[in-house]
Amino acid sequence: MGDPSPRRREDSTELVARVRADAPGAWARLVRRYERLVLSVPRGMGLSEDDCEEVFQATWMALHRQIHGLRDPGSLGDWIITTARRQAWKHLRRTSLRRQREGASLPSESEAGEGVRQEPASPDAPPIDEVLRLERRQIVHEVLEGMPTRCRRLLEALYLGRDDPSYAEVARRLGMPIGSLGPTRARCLAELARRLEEAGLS
Amino acid sequence: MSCPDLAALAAAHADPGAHRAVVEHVHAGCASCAAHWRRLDVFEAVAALGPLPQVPAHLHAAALAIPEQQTAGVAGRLLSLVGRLVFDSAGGRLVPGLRDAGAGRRHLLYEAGPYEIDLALVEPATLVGQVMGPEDADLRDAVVLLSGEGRTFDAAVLEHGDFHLDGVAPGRYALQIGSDDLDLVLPDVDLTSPGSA
Repeated sequence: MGDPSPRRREDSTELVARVRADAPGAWARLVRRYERLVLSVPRGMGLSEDDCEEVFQATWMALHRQIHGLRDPGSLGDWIITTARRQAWKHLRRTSLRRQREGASLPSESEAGEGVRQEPASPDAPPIDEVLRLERRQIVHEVLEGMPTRCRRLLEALYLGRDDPSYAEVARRLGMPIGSLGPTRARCLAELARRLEEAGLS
Repeated sequence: MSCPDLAALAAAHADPGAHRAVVEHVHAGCASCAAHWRRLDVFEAVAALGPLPQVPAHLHAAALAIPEQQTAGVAGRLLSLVGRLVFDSAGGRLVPGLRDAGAGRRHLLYEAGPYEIDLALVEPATLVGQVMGPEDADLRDAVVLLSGEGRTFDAAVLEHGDFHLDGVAPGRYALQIGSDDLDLVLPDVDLTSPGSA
């Protein structure tokens, strides 16, 4: 299998096949595509930054070890979410056991940092709603990143910005006539909807 | 009205008040337009969550380096081994030196590199096991995960490598014993026939 066409974004099945074949750059593309998803899982479970980093690395190591045995590379996002969640659980469990063995009292929540969960979460498969939410988030961000630059920047400015900028501010930032923002937004949303459909978002 | 083009639909999604006819068309039951409308709903919902977290440069670099490190054999200290079944009391006699599981028990022995994992399914629903490794093997902090039949069980590895899991129904499971530097995996543990020994 050759390099991906520059005109079409490779899907996860193709990407996994290229990683398995040791194709140049394939692993780097895999990391770029999914690294934010990996990190979002332990963060969503409330782990500390140090713990998130350990889970992040453990998840990538697990993926590299097991990539030849993945049964359904088309569901790589789902596999990553489940694996990252299990790694997070294992990490919490080991930490908890170590503390118990050492007889140390668990720090209070305020000592540990706001939102840090002290007891391991269940390692069971994550709730379907959570997987769906994370998968959809990944798909939307993947599709958005593959959009033409002008559209991507406009949609990010209008929908993903931390502030709520006025049309005039967005037009200024992007160097676009204010009168073109509405029609351009409609065209870009239409293209986004088409690409989301192609990406399998139902 | 007939289906609007997608740009008109998107404009209506962004500003429903200005495109009431399109909105009414979508809500009147046009499946195709409703599907696009839902995708734009999802986009807005995802956008409201904000961007996915940015990955610090050092973490990105660490993930990129994993293939080279594993090829060079310096991938941290993690040793990952997949076990193979070397004895099943349901299909053969006990091997010399193996602990007798007792009547009514299913007994399995796996090897994973220098490690041995000894499992016995005790009626009604308890899995007892022991993991044994080289003398310098450090199994402190190791955790056992048993997954299958829609459930996951966990237990800590105790002194001498013992562990036990309660409430394990007959079925097929994957068992994983993990610590900071060791990952033993038994991908297919057949516990469908307890007490067949």
